[in-house]
Amino acid sequence: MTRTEAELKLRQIFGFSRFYDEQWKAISALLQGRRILVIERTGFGKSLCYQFPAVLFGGTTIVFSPLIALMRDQVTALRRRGIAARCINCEETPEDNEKSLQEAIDGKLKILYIAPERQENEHWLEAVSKIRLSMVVVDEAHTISQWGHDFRPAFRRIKNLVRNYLPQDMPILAVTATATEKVQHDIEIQLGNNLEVIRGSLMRTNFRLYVIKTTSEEEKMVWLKHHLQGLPGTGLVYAGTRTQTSLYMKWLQRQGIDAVEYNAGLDAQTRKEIEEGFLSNRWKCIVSTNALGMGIDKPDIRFVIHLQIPASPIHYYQEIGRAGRDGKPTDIILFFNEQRDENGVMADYRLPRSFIDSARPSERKYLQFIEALKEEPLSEKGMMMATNMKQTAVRVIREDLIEQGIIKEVTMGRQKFYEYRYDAPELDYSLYSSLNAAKLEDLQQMLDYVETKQPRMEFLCRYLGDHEEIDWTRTCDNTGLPKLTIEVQEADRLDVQDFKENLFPELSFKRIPNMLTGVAASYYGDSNVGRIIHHCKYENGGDFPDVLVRQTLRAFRYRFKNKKFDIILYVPSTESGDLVRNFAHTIGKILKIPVSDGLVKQKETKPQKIFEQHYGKADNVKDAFTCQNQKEIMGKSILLIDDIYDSGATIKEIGRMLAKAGAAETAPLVIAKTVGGDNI
Amino acid sequence: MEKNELPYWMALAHLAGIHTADKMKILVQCHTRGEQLSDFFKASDEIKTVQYLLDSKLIENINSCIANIPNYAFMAENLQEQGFEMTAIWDREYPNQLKANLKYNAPIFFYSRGDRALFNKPATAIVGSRKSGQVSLDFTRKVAQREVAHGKVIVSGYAKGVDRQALESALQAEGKSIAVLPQGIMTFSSGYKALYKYLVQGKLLIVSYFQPKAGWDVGLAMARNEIIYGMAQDIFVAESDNKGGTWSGVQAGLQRQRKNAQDISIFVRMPDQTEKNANMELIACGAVPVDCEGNVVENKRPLETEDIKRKMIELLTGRELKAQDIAIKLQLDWSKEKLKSFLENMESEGVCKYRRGRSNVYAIKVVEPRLF
Repeated sequence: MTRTEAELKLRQIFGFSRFYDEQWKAISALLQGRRILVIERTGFGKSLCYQFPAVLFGGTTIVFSPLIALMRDQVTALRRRGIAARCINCEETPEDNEKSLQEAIDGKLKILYIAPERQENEHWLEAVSKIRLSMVVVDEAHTISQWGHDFRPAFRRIKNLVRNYLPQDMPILAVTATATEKVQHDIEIQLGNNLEVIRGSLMRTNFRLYVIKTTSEEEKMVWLKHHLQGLPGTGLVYAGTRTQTSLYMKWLQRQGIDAVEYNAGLDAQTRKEIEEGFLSNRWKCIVSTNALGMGIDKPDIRFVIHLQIPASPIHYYQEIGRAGRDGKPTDIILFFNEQRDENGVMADYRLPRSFIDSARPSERKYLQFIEALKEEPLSEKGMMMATNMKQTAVRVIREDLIEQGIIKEVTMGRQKFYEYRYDAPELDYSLYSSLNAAKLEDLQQMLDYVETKQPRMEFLCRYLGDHEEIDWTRTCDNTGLPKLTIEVQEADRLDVQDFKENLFPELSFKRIPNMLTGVAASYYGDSNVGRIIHHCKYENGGDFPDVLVRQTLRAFRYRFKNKKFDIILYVPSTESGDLVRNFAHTIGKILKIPVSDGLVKQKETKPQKIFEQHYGKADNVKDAFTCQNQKEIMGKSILLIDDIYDSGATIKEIGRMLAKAGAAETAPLVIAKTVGGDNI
Repeated sequence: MEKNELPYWMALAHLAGIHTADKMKILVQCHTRGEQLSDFFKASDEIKTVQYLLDSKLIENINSCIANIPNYAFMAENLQEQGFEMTAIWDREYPNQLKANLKYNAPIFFYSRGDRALFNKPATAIVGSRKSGQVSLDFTRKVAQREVAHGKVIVSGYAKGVDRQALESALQAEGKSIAVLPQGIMTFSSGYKALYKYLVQGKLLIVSYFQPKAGWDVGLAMARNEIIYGMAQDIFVAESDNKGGTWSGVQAGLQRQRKNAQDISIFVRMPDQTEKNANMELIACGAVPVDCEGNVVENKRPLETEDIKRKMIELLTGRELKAQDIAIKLQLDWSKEKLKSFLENMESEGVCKYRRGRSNVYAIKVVEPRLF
């Protein structure tokens, strides 16, 4: 088919008059049964590269896509054009998924979108053996690479399928908007020989890139207070943690700015409502974790503000890339708190660093796991029990071991089991060390972005392997745009202080029986409270001072104003002596609630803070506590006091124990709650 | 073999309407040309006609399954993912003994799980009917133990009775075993669970050459018998009926033995007189009789038979009896046919048949005294 003939069809079916050269290059190669990787920026029209040939082919094109929202949008758009397309994923009803499969088997579908996880589903595998297949597409192809910024283990089997099994003359298309040369190279290896690469320009000429360096969290808040409302249009404020989304939403609302928070912790319905409101510009801004925006097709996001540096320039490019698809000027702002702690670590470096450090369990756990599976096949639950590890750890190890070909997943009846492979290779843990090193290097690059004197867009493009030369003038604060600065007035400082003192972070325990939502007097980091606690605990600073007592009492009244408690228990300390005990007795005296010393440890534990991983913390305190006098708590309302709430593992463990021992309800009250990355 | 060749092998292996021997001819052509199977599939009709000497109907049949290659690719990926392996006839793992025995009728492609190295270890098959009695099971156990001690891999069919006894005895004796399934490789979950440790330890190889999801079927069970016999150098028959899988498998084996003068031995357990099976008939056809320990019995006519003959002559001396009554008096658990032919073979000993009214009776022929 010539380009002219193809463009005639393009007009008839899709209503566009012509292809971009790179689109046509991909399409004509696919029509010849070749294998193509297309790396083009968001908004380029990558989907057309497979949608067009899919319509021409006789059978069904399977598109493996990790983004459910995107799948749905694409299906709707295709059906509007009269192209038979459907999608299969966990959010559709089983009936709808069944119908989609049947239509594919009956040869009625041109395009079938499917989540990569389905490749593990027996039902799908049964069905796909009956579908006439014309092409396979791997969407968001950077997610198939361990070195990519959003690695999805679920793609493992798709990679294997494409690389090793699908016939060489079957057209295969992989598409992504963001792949460094390293990731591109990895995709080429993962998807096998003969992958031709088409790489386009990643330059976003409508972006105005700024970096604002700060020495405190407070300064970020003050800048937003004065400038956010003045930014044109609506946009996104990305925060590093869920706690931060809620904190900044409250701060912005206090300033009269129409803001809402979004994170993966919200229920599905709320999330959907916010997504819809986002599309119709219902709020000035959405304070979100990076969960929002991926795969949402909104052309007019006018600004993206990062309160925290992402893990790498590629994450950053990907997250800001969601903005300004309409080509109009768009403001891209990155905050960076460079205040160093006593170890010389910069404040905003801590959180992303902690994510990297806690990504993987220790080698010993991997080996423990393998030994268990040599004995018998185990389900996920069975593995958790056999190894005494948490689900998250089990999942990480499981995926890694499958990837390494040491264990395999099999379906018995309806349940999935994991089995040791006969003749399996030895565990190669060094792989994870090098992955870790690569991630640290990526993070370093992000710091370099903050410090660079280079045109910022040039920095990002080079990092992503785009070496195009263009005029960078007025694309960022290094090339002619004004530097953005912050001036904190006394009134601002008081405003922030008042805000923080009345924040009272919630401690929520949905899965623990008889556990009430508790309260913290303050956040730990970036506040005096954290510093005071640290001084008392680790620098022999004596009992917690009155200011903490007062602040804690305020939090108590804020949260439990009309609540009656029968007894106060406190968490027995591992290393800070009687600090918490004395604190609890002081509080008890003021509130006139009897304090019991009956909550004790029945096994030796280590300080929770030495565990980098949550599962380590949970293991450390498991079954560690007991109540000496069960009568004391039977049927009682308990106020449970501790100094710092970090992972929550201790409080949760005690809550479970108390419920089991017959407590009617337990409400935690702590002095400070940490935010991800806090150094306690 | 490259993994991306596997879907083509699966397609050819499961292609209906073409004999295995014809598939084998295609493979031989491919092999001599130094081509992959995918090259054959992708070749033009002209090449398929001229070089592969296929007729148009066959070409059409083969071309029709090209569209299924991607489907087989999905299947192959899933099989491999679940820990199954695939072995084509020109892979070095393929059992050589089987190739030598079955020639053009050997399966072109195997699915398996476990240690494929067992494919080419010296192997002994132990076979027998599903309803074998305790004597046969004991025999199986003893033979399995002895063969394992000699470093042999025990091949069986994972059917009830002798097959399963063979497998279990081999594994219990710290030996290794191959089970040739009468079903698809993916429909054996409970078996994999039960045999997990042996699979993990490399003591067991489970094999099938049918569609991976095929359920148990009598036709498949019959077909796979030939593979069991084909893989082994020594075959021990614990118990056989005069029809069914064991019987026809042994017959085929004996035939091959005669035709090709191959170095395979078929041993049949010598039955005692009370057994109803057809072991004796197999021995009569040329199989080597062995005692209940599996040792070769030098004298093909067992002592028991002589005993029976002696008893019969005593019984019939001076009287006439119907066959049925002879059986009752001697407590013989034989079929009518067996008994009849046994009696007829005793003519030289003087046993004669007489007509008395509607029935036949047997008696010792009275020899008249001669004067001179």
